[in-house]
Amino acid sequence: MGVVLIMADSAAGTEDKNHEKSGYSPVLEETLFVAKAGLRLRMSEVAIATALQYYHTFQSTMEKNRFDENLVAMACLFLAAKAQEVSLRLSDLVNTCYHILHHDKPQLEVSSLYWQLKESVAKMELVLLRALKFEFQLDLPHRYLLHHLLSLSHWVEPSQWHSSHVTRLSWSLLQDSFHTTLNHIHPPNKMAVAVLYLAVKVSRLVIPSPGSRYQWWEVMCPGVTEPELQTLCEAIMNLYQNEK
Amino acid sequence: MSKRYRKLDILGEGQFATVYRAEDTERDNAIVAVKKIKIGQRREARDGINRTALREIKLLQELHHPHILGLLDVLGHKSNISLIFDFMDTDLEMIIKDKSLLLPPGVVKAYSLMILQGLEYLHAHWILHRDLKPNNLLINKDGVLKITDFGLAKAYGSPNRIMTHQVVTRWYRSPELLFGARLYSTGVDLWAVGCIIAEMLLRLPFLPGETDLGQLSTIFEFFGSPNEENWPSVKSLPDYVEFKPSPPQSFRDVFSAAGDDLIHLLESCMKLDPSKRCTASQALQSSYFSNPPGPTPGPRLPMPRSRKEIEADIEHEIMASRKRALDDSQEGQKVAKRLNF
Repeated sequence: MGVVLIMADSAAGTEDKNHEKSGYSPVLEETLFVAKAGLRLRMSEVAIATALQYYHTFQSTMEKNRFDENLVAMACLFLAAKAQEVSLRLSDLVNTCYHILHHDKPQLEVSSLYWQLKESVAKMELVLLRALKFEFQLDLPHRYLLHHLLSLSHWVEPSQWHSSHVTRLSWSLLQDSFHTTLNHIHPPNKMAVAVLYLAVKVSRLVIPSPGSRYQWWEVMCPGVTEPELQTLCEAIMNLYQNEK
Repeated sequence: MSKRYRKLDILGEGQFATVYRAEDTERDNAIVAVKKIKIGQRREARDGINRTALREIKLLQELHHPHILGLLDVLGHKSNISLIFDFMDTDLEMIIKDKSLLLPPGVVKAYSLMILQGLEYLHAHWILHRDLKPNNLLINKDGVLKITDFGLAKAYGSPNRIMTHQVVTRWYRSPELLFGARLYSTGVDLWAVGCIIAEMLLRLPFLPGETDLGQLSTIFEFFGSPNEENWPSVKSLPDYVEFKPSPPQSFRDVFSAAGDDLIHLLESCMKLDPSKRCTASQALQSSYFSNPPGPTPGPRLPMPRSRKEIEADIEHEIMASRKRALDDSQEGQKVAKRLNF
């Protein structure tokens, strides 16, 4: 391919992978890095979810260890910011990511390393775009979830609805679900209904459905079965058991 | 480029891209246009792939309409990105400028109809074009007009999303943009459509301003200056400046050949107050499009002469003028002789 890519992590020469002790799986390590950098750069949650989705897609199409993972992560954030119309300067991205990876070292100075990192991310962005086959416009579950939350809120007593925190809970579950490959496999509406199902169960909210032949989730996602939703929920819950 | 598309010649070069004519070897050598995006070469200027190009790809992937130029393919090769489009033979600017072509009412109606149909589709999908002008309206040899250049287009509709007002080529820019409005809507595109239809009638730009401020005075010279009555919220716009009160002129006087229905359409597209302008759908419902004459069918729409023919013509003109100059000078001699005599 003739692309010279400088390793974002090992660039400083040392092997002090500072998150080695955390005990997360390597994929989760990396997606947590994406989310952390995205939050520090004040990217929207939807933009961060987009970056995470790119990351999973990229990893599923490329052979392992062909590219430096941190560099891929940075390119995902960079492209996601553009795709979601978030303003993000390449220099801010490079500085922030460097600081997260090497928080014990002084800030990155304007040096040849800094320029190389910038150029590598820009090149990686092109590689990423091609790996995505230029389909960088994603249909994410977020808007489906918002739509269903609105309909569900009309079914329940307002006071009950507010005390249940289903809105916040389901949104957080959805955001966390991007640390798995579930969104890469399942259609967005199904994922939205699954996190909503989980949030309703966890908050013990009762959805009244007098005389209806259908359960609420069947209305929102025709054809889905309860065991299917439960499997998805378990996969999300596994994320929280990952800590050793 | 790539093996599939064989480059033929350069069609044009812009600030961000070079456009080539090419053959698609996997589709019976069909002629396509290849837009090769320039990627900044200077290190410090590099900010990865151009946002504008990315926006264009993103929007075009979702849009499919007979009057929107379709994206056939996207290629990534080395550090280049190329967009593949249908090849279009000419554009509305060429047609308006080619004085050998006639634009009878049916032709003006056909183009106006196609522009508004494309625009209605865009607006229905919550997209503002923001840079409509005659040379962004491409026309193929079958007379089909397609809207292009989505580099400035943007999704609209979020109530509090602030947008830049530095859009739209000046002559087609609406007064609210010139006053620095940051929250604007489909009205900016309808204003531009009004300018374009007017230009087809006049065969000259309708409102050619020299500067941004000059553009406003050109507009108000015709439409009359804005006041609380014709545009209630105008004074709250960021860059509002007061203009000397002047009375509006009538469309009737300027567009003497146009019918009442067309005058009415122009008036509804070009209200000073953006909230009073018609929508693309309303414009399509106007009596102008249901009254005779009907729009001229595509194959019978005019085609400008090819570049070669125009060049040959210019050559001919130069020869003729040289000959005339020669004749004149001979005549001059004769006269001189006579005077000497």
